Amino acid sequence: MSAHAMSPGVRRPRIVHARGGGVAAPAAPPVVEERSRGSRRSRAQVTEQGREPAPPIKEPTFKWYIPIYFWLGGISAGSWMAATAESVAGENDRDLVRTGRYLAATTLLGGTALLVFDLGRSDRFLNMLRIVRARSAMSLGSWGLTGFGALTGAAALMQAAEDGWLGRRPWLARASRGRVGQLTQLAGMPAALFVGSYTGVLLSSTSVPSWARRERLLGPLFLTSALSSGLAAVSGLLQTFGAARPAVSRRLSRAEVAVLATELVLMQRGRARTRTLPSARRESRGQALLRGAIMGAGMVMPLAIHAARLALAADEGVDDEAVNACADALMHERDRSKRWKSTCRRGGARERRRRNAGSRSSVVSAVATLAGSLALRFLITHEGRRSARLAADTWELSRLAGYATAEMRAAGEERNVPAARGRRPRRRTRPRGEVRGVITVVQEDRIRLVTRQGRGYLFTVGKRCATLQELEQWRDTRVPIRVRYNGLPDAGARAEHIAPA
Amino acid sequence: MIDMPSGQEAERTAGTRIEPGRAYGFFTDTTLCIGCKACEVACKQWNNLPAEDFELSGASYDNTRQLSATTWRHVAFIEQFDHERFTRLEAPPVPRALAEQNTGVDDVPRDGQGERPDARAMLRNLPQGFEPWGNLTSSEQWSQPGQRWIFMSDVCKHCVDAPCLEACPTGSIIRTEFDSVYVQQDVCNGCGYCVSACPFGVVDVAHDGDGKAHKCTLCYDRLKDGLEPACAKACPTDSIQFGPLDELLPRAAARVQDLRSRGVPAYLYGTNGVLEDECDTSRLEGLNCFFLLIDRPEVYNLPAVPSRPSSRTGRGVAASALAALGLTAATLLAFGAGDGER
Repeated sequence: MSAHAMSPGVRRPRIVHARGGGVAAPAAPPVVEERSRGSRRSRAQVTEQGREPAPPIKEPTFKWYIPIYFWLGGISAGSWMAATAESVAGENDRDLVRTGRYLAATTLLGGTALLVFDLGRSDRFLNMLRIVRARSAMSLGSWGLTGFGALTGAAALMQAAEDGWLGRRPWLARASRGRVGQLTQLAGMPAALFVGSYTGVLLSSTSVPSWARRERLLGPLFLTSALSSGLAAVSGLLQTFGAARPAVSRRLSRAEVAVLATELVLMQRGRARTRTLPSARRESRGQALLRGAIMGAGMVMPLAIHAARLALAADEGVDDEAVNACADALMHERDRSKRWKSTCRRGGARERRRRNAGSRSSVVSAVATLAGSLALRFLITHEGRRSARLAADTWELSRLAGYATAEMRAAGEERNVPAARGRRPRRRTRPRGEVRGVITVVQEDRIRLVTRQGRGYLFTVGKRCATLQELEQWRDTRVPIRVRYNGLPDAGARAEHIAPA
Repeated sequence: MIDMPSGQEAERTAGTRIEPGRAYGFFTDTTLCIGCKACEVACKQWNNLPAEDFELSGASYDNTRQLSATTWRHVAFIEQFDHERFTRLEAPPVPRALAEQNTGVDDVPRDGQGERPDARAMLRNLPQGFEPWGNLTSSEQWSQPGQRWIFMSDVCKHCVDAPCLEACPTGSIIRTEFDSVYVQQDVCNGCGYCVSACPFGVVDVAHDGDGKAHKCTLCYDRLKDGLEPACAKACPTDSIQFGPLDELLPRAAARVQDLRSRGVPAYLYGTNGVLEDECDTSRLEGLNCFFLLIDRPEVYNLPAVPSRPSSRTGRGVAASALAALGLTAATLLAFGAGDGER
């Protein structure tokens, strides 16, 4: 564009801003939330200030089942993780691996179905696989889902063979239990982790301010939520069907503690990132309550239960019976026999269930984690919708990008980017200071000073500092000059004292 | 037989030839817009778009309100009236020459004092030569909110780095040979990701219609036949100017200089830095359809610094990968750490 070279020529007159409340479309538009109606055409809100414009961006078109897809996809990724970790690092407990594999395949299938239903033209869902586009999280996700879907399907088939659903195939069963099964699990890990996290990236790669602000947080947050819900789903199913060996439960608990703790930290960081958005500042009470419930009942409570179980296990040594006894002490008394191993075998299902039903506290924590994870997906989606409806959120995004509003300019702050709490960007130059160098350019009341290191500074010469003749003389003789200034150099800092050093 | 003149129609209506391989767009000069909505109608007619619900917005004369799947041109009405002048019946600021005459306006009781003033008597008592919009020169009117009614014919910006195109997972949204951004209707599957990606709220999915994404096509069909887009052709004041960007930009810059020399605070929106005093569209590398504005971008419902959503994808994936590594390590450790059980 050759027009770049054009100089403004005529100085731009200042935009005069409306004063007072009586003028429509004021400098800072009033914060009024629009509510969308059935027809999807949002209506104007009449305010005292007059017209409230339609939101500058469109509300996301995702329907209510997309958060459910996020949740199901997460459970799929998390249960795959549980199965993989057990088969690779654990003791290859078949109950856990079986549960993980079946769960991963079924939840992914259900989630993908929801995804297809959400399309405006569901019959064209295969069009997603026409191209690969690294800049589109949706495109990446489609491919991730396809890959992960194939692997979960393969693993589920393998497991079905192992379980004898596909007739007698001893070689397949052996492969499923052995190296081949492990390798399949490992091969699916990148895909699982991607499917668990890309949904968050998908949301943050939009123009919706609340999501866009958390560009580095939503992916990891959704991943932790995926892993915690997947682990919880596996352990919940194992407990319910009485197949949870205490050692397995402990492994799941340990992983759950790590994941939930991370999730809590990410939630908190996310709050900090959206702090300045009007939609977050003016959060509804229901939304705040939901967040509290998610963090309290969906994260802290399960975390405490798992930690307590682990602590009890540590206290009691590795006496599984005792662990279960302590965990269940408040629930009810159970007959505990040391013959649990034998009852675990085929045929003793009822007995096994009775003896090894695990602790009810584990089931409670699993259900709470799953519910919290689902609610979290709904909460984040809702936050995005609200943020898109609120024009002030979009303006805030511009402000954070370094755009100074008229009010800020009037107050002398050219580009005010608030620092994230706790980590202020280090200023390279102090707003008030002193530099030494040589004057290279003198123009009316401005000078350019170049230091010995070659760094140039632009200053406005303050009144009674130095005369033009002096400045020009110093420039011509190139004498070293000391400048004491006020303000940010290069951004209109005023030289208050200029003298040869 | 009618003698058909040779050459493209666009040469006669827009003064430019339309040829593939050149970037075309609109320069929308909002100071020339009179809010007639001819562009809206022309767009609907040419593109066979249905009317939307007959709703009154209730807060503005702008009843179209926003761009949608079936409205690809929207004339935004921005009322900057000083309501006090009419509702509180205070004396309007009277130009000095008129103020010297005894007008009787000052006799009107203020709010809260005595009886409510009679509006009709008030209007009768107005000084001669009083105009509701103020006795201001046109440039004074342009630079003062409270006296003016701004119009802007909004349209798809056909961004140079188009977020909708980058978001599209089916490859349905393409860049045409005229550098415009076009939704191929036979490919789109209505996933709606472009809707959330667009920083201007332009593209929308027709939920009640065919379920696909729709937006301005820059009259792709017309361009191919050497016709300028319907809206630009219909515009009676040349507020919408169609042409190749290398011709439009100097024209826009000259117009800005002209307006500034007359005291109007004009600037451009969407030129990737050229005369963009109140905004910054460099993240999108500029917009093929750019605007001349005289108030802050938010007043026109435009973000001052539109961001490029796809720039966040890489950062998000990187952060997720890091988290994934950490969490995998933690989980494997949690599963692998022996209990000393066996």
